[in-house]
Amino acid sequence: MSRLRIRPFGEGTAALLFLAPSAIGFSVFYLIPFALGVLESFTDRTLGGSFVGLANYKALLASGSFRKAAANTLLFTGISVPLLIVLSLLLALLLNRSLPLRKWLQSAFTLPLVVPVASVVTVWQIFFDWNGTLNEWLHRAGAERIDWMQSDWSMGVLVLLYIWKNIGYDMILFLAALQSIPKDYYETARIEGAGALRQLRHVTLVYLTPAMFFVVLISIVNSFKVFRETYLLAGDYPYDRIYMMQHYMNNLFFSLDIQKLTSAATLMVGCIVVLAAGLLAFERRFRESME
Amino acid sequence: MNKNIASLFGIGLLSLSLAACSSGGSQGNGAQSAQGASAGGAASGSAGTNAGSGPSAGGAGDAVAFDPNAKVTIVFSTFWPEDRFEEAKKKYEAAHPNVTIKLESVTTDDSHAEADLEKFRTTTNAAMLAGKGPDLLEMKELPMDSYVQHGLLVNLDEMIKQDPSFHKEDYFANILDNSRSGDGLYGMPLSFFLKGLAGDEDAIAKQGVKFDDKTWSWSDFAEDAQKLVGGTYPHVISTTPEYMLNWLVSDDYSFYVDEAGRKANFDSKSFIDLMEQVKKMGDDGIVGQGQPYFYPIQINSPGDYFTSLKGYLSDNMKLYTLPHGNDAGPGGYFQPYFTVGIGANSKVKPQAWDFLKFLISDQIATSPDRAGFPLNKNAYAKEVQQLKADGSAPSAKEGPLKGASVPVDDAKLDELESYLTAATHPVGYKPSQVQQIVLDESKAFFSGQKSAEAVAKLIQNKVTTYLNE
Repeated sequence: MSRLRIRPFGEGTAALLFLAPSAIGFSVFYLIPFALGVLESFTDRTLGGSFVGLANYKALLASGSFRKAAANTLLFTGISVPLLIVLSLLLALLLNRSLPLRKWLQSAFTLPLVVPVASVVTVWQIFFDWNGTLNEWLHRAGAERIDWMQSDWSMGVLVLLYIWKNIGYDMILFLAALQSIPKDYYETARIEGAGALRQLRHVTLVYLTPAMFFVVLISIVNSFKVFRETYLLAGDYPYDRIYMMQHYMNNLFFSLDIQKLTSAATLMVGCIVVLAAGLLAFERRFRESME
Repeated sequence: MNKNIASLFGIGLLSLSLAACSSGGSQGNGAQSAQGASAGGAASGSAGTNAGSGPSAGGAGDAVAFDPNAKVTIVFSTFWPEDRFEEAKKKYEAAHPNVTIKLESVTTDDSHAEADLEKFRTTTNAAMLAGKGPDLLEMKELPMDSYVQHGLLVNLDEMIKQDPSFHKEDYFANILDNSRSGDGLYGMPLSFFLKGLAGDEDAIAKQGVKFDDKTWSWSDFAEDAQKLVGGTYPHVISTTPEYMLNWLVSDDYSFYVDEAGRKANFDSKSFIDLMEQVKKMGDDGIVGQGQPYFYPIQINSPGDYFTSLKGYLSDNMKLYTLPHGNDAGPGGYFQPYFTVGIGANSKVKPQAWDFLKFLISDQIATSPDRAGFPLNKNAYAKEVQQLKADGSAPSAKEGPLKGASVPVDDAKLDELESYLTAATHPVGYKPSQVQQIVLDESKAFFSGQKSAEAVAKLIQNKVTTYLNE
């Protein structure tokens, strides 16, 4: 806080100047359009609309499909993000020690990040289709086949797809954080007789927390991005369980219902802001308690 | 304190950009955020300029009075370039030197058509929402219902009412009346196709089946079909069970779909029974892809009426009205070809209306082989006259008749006209969203992969989602 004040005036201006290009770009492409969208969400139509207060929000909340989409999105994020964090952390811990083929394994896990979506989706489609590979295997094994994309399993498939795609990225973030924990801490802990589990709980996890906040935030955001794959995999009206917020918004867009669309977007951004602010506040408190 | 504000702002920015990239990911969605936003921006910009002229939708107040000598440009947007519009433009511009018609279309080829079409739709949607759309639009590839719902098109009924030079009796009134959506006419069908069944009259008589195709519904058809099966031909109608199911659903559509109450009824016992019934029709051979008594057929022109009916399996094919859905009421089916609307925000509405009137006038060149029956009765009469003068209709070289001409029969032409004037149900180019869901999901049942109950449940869920959006 004090550092900011002491900093000479010129340096602040320079910083602003350097920030300007990206700030302008961000404003033009995101901030201003979004603000206009928020305004739009309080009017009754795009052309010559008049102010209607919260009518669009009321209509939105009255829509059964919106509630379904919100519940599904929440459920998906609630299941997939914790699972992803645990799995990628385990993987990072595993790959943080010397293993044969370590380098190879690391690249293998990050590979899904660079494979184009179209080819990923094709492979998943062939694999999980009603007449696809997985059901063929099940059939050969003498089991009943399962309609993966058209039953409650579809959520599982999406969680799998999401974890498969993001585990490498989260793992790299965790690895970087793990390597920045000073080795002395572990040595001290060992000298004082702490076992492996105790070291994990009281050294690794504690010093990993700042990175953890970041990873959680990014993972939540990425969990919204799974829509792209879902859309390509299951179309605009997928099985009930995987009908997400973005399906709803996408379908509204194509029926030109801009008012409801912008209200939905505003609500969603509101939730994300609250979530992000909460996480960051929590992180600040944590950091202060560490000092 | 300072820092707190700064960090709060930072959070806002961060989460905004996060939200932005989360929705900017996919194709459809990327377009959504960009288009939606720009449309919103432009719209609120133009809202002020618009306020003075009152609600713009359907505002045809200045339909009749306009300065005929003022120089104007009318923008007419179609997806595909179309020769008949080029011709019309030349003729109209020659007669009205102060008017320029600007035809806008997309040049594309087979491999890019789908992507270009998507782009055409999103850009036109955005432009329409922003009040900067074309003056005239051909709506085959555009979501016309959404445009109507959001007041983006002029109600042509108002134009007609205020225009003493428009004589409704010059046109096929049944087509004009039944092209209305909701409270008005928002798209003018320049021409139309006739949908029907081509059936082998003799073979049907041989089975002793009698019916009145003017009044039969799909359930009547299903009943009569039982008596036809196993006669001259192995099948009764050439189609697939999925389509048959949709036809039968249309028979009782309001029972299955309650749009106002946002409820679907596809998990009911009657739908499951209906699916079983259609499956049995397939097993019995009523529905099949082999030789049938009836082919669903589309008649494109007076000449096509003769060549098409000769082109199928028997020499004695007759045109029948397509069975109707009980809910829709009796009457034949037609498909509009070139539906043109006027943008609600057009600055040259009267001139656009005048050109639109020209497009449906009998001054447009006619030919008995031209695709689509003209909306204008005089233009149709000219086609029929020419066909009679020719004495025969030439068939396509690649067709089943290999270019042989088919003699024209006056009595049959009269019959055709009676079908044309009795067509009251419009058919869209694409199945509706509900029909599409029924088509897609019921396949698994008819191929024996899923139970009727499972499929009914899936259809019910998806249709409910659609209705509640």
